[in-house]
Amino acid sequence: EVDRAHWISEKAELTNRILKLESERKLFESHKFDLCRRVKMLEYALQQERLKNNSLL
Amino acid sequence: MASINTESDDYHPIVILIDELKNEDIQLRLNSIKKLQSIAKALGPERTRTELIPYLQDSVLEDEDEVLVVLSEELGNLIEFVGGAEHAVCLLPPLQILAGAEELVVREKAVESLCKIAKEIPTSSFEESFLPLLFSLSKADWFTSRTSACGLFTVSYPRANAEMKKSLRKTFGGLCHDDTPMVKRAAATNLGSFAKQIEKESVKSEILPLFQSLSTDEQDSVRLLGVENCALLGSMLTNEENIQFILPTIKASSLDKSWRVRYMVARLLKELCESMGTEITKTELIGAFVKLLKDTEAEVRTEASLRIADVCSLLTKEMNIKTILPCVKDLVSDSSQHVRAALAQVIMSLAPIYGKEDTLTHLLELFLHLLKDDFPDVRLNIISKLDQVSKVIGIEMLSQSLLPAIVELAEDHQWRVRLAIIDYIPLLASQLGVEFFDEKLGNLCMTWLGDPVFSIREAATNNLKKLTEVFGVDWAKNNIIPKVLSLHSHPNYLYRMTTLFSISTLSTVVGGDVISSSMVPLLAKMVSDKVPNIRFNVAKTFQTIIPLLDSTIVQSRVKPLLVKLHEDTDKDVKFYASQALQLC
Repeated sequence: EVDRAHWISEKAELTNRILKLESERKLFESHKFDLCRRVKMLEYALQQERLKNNSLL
Repeated sequence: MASINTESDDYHPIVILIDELKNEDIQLRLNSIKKLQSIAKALGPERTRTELIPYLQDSVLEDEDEVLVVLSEELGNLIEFVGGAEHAVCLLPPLQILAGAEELVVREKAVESLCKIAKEIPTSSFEESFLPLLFSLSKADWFTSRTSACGLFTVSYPRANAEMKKSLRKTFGGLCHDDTPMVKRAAATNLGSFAKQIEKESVKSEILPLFQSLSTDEQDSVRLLGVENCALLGSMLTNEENIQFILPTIKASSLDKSWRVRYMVARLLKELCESMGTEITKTELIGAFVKLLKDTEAEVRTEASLRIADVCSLLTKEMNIKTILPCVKDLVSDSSQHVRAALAQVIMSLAPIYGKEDTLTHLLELFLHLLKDDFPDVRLNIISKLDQVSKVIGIEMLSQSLLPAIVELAEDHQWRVRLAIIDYIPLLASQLGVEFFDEKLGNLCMTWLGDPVFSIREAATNNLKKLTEVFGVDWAKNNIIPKVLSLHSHPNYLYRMTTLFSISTLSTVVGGDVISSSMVPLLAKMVSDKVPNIRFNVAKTFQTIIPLLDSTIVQSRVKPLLVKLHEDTDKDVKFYASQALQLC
């Protein structure tokens, strides 16, 4: 009986841990996505600046 | 070109920001606001001004407070990204809205950023935009904006022209007489720093009346902020002006019916004395101080007690003895333990002020009284500051009077009292020095090893270890170790066990040489003790010292002993011996 209760609580703990890690991973994923978009944005801004400079030349 | 144009919609910085701020995870929104500078960089100064700032102003303010705090901070850092100081004005409108936010931290950050911008922008835009913003904030309907306005006066005043200065003073006056206590509190907080910027004439004619009305406010939370201003304003005025304008307020505050105001006076007493100067302190403030030391609230007495040394250093010795000393005598037996602990913390610093003679006649008795206090913090505070007194009256005098008290406590029949004194011995030893210790306290530490209560014996062995750390291994070799080891022949096995415990604790600090030369031979003798408890504790002791010894010594001298123990008839002895053998 005691073993069973112990097993259940351990299982719940592990499930919680999995959930936490999964949500952390999701957060990192979307953070990475945002960062990629920012990089592209800056690349685009740089390209525009270069175009402007080239046309001036 | 066409491909770039279609791309431009997706990678347009504002679109990206909008997308990021739509995310439901607050952490991601925070991250994106923290990197607001990269958005501004991509947009370039002009488009930041025309597109980003208006967008922020309109739409972001509905976000959570945490995001708003970061936004308020970031807006202050955007000055160079909007095209430098001459364009910084465009940052003001969103900050104005944030300065009216409901959450206090958001407003504080917004005010901080506004002050930063106010220092940067050119005079023309300061007068055209910043001052109107200040005035509109201070006239806002909601009190939140008005409290934020109070924080902006100090930075704006030096930059304003004469006429503007006049209206700034008038507006501030209005805020001091606001209906809500929140605004009055903010005004009182900023009154002192604002006054520092103002010409002295106007301080006297305009600020002092405001100060007086705030310090007689009906809310005690407003009045207590006035106390701090007493010190700030006092340092700007002459002695006569202080007596006329500030002193009545200090006196009234020290007799205030709210203890929080009196507490504030006690807490800032040193600053108040410094700003009023020694003359006024001697004649006027000392009376107020004595009353605070006798206050009905323990919190006030605690704060006042902590300032005793500061105040006494400003007075002559005769005044000290006549006025302060009687209060100190009462406080020594105060009913609150916190008051006594606070007193014990500072009373030692009185010795340099009183000098040798008067310390001996007046203070020593009080020290001894506090040393016997029930509350451990009081005793600890006294013992930890002993060096200040020993400098004044000399170690000889101190030991003559102090030692009997310590010895008495060390032999108290309550074992908890003895335990408490043992805890302070290493500290005491480091303060008093090795010679004093050897002469007077050395024996005391040894008698504890033979105490009938186990906890005392245990504490005493740990104490020896700490003393070795203080005085060094050589000292331990000559003074402690021979005495400890002599206990091994005690008829009672419990005391013989103390030797073993001492060896275990001391071995970690004395080094391999001492262990092999004086401890191992002894253990070899005790292997054949007739009590099994001793024998298996020998095995246990070996477990701690084996890692500290040279492996050749372990093989040649320790291992044979353990093998012998392993063949013992007792089960426990066998068990611990086999455990120790595994380490060889």
